[in-house]
Amino acid sequence: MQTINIQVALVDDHPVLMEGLKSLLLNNMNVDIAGCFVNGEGILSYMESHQPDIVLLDIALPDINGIDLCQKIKKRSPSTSVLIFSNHSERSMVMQAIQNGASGYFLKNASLEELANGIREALDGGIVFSREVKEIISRPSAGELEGLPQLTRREKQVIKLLAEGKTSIKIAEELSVSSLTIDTHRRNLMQKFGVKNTAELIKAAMLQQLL
Amino acid sequence: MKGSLLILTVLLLTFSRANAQQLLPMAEKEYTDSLATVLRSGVSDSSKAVAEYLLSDYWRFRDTVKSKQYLTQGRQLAGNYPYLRALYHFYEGQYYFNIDKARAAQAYQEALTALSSYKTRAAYSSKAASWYDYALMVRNEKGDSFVTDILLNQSIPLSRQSGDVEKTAHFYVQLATLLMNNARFDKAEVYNQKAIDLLESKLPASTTLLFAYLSATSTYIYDSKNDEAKKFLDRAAKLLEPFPESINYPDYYYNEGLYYVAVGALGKALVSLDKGIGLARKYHQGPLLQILVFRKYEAFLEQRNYKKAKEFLMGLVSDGSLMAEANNRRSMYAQLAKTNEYLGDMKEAYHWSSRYGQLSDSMHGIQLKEKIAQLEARYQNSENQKTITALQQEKARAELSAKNSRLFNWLLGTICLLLLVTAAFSRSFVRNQKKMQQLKVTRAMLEGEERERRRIAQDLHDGLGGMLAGVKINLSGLADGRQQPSHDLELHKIIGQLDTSIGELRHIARNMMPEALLKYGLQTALKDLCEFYMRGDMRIAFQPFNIQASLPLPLQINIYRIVQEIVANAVRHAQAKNIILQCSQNDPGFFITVEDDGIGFDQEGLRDKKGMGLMNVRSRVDYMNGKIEIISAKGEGTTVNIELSIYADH
Repeated sequence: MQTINIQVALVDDHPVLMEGLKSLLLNNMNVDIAGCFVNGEGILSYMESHQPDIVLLDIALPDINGIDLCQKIKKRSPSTSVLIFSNHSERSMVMQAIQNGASGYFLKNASLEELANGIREALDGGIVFSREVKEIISRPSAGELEGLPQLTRREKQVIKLLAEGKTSIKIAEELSVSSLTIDTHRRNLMQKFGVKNTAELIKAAMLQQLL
Repeated sequence: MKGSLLILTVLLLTFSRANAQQLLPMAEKEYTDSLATVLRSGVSDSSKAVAEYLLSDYWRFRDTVKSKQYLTQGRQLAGNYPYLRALYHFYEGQYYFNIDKARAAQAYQEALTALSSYKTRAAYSSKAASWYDYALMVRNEKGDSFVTDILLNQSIPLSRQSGDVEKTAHFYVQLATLLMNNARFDKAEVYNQKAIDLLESKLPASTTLLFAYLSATSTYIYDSKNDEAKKFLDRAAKLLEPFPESINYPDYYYNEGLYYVAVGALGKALVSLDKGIGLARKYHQGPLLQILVFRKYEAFLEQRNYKKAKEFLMGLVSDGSLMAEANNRRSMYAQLAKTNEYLGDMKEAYHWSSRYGQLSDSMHGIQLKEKIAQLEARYQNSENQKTITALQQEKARAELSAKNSRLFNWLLGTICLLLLVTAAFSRSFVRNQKKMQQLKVTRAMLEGEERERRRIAQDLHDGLGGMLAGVKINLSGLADGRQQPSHDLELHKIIGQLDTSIGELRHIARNMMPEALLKYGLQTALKDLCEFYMRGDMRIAFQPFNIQASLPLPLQINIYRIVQEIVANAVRHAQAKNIILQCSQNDPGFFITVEDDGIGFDQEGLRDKKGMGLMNVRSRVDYMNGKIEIISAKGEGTTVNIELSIYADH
């Protein structure tokens, strides 16, 4: 009994890449190329009657963004694994793709080996990334503040002047900025410390020996 | 009888028939009704103003609040009528007549000044009344002779000029009363008769005739001509008969009481006086009430009921309104001394008698001093007047020249101001236009630039990037198919170089236009930016606050570019370990802070930092009406604070 080949669909609007990828996969893996599509509409209409095992999906498509397309594909066929194959290396893109149901994310300079392994792992239900993507997502996130709130120099100035009992207007005068600026600082500080008013803010700052 | 006459005379000195000032028709209700009709019917303001004045005058003895109200309304209606405005002063005087003598006197003086130029009959009449009322107000200071003089030389001639019979007769009666009070009965009788003759022929139903009758009655009683008195008293009664509500009844009862005392019918006298007292209380006729009460005391005295008489006097003393007058006080003390003597209480009699003496002495003293002071004041006044006249002439001359030069200055000033305003206006207009034009150009440039970047980024990414990726994959396929490792090594090196090229291209494309910014907005794009730069030895803390996705895309791109440039600078040049990027939106402001702990630079260095990057940042900040502040010192890191306005007209 011959094993059934993996059904792979390719979506990319770039013919050179498409041809290369196609021959590479056919030569090295037990796959059938179920179809090659240059836009979102093509793959979506194909999927009305077919359920490929793998869809290799570019993000930059002429009619739809690949990340949004991923969600639509998963809706049509939840059993299909979508692997993003893109030149976009932003963390936000990777995260959004996974959120929309992608099983993996590969940059276009991924090696054949990576790609082949990825396809196999994805079929087993895993989530796979190429080496470079792994690097991107393993970097510490810029937004996640650990431990104590980190204050800017200006925020420290403002909190000190607030603790001296000065009003926004007075502080604004002293720092020669607008009082809206000071109000914004105050609002941000209260958010940073998770407090509701200036009094609590000063107390929190004292507890953390910022004053 | 002789004794009581003395009291009467002294007391009457200050009783000037206050109610006699009101020359109202006896049909009072009809009178007020007709005035009210005038007010309602909405004829001209002038006639309404007069009606208001008359109503004020009517109410002044009955309800001062109402009186004041009508007076104020009258003044408002008088508005643009100078004569009615002048008349206001007279009625103001009337209003204060019983309340505040000084203010009333002042008001009458003002009325006389204001009316002086009017030659109409009504004006003469008002002037006559103002003179007389003024005289009454200053009577205590200037004495009865002054009042007599005013009546004879001002009020009566003016009243005759006005042709107002009733008023003329009224002044005759007043004169007669005054003369009677000074015991000039024969002359008083003549003037009463003049008034009565005048009125009986022309105005047989007038109030003034009633007063004339009553005045004649008292005069004849004092002159011990009781039969004559009775005649006039009866005529007065007949005149009053149809008007039981008339406020002149107390006056009538007073005279009736007087008559009954004179003829010795003391019981009847007490009845009359009690009626008068009740009505005088009802109509708030203070002075008349006191006189009636005093008359009652007299009746007791006649009855030799000294105890009651004394009680009455003490009542008057504690009541106080009659005691305010020094003359009255003095006669009251005399009467108390006499009553106590009758009662056999010599000690009290002595006490009152000595008080009488003291008061008499001090009164003479005061009068003397006052006379001297008056003379001095008069002299100084005339001297002052001379100086004032001279000064006034001087002032008028100076004022005229000052006025002329002022006028010229004003004209010049106004023209200058006008020119200045026009110049400033047109200048700011031109400048504004220029600025608007500049902003437009900047906007067009920035937007065009962004559009172009976006296109190039897309081409790089999708076109060239895709192509290179395809080439790389094809090469990889080629390498896999080969068996000779030496060639493979060479091929893999080339594939590696291609890889690097693709990475570089991606970097360029992202700088051109980050896909995340277009797709997920500013906050995500900025987070990507930070993460892109983060390495093991350098952390970037991104602190976004309230960044709204609704921010217009051109502004998002602009803000992104600003942050991109500053963060890139910090990464490249500052050798920082930690960078904080804080972006907060607080409409209408957007605030950016980038802070590093790198090497920093001194302010000298800042001047050298005017490279392309910072210049771009500055022009982008200007574009959003913003402010940029760079704080740095060698070894202490750098802080960049930026305030942007997101509502400005972009």
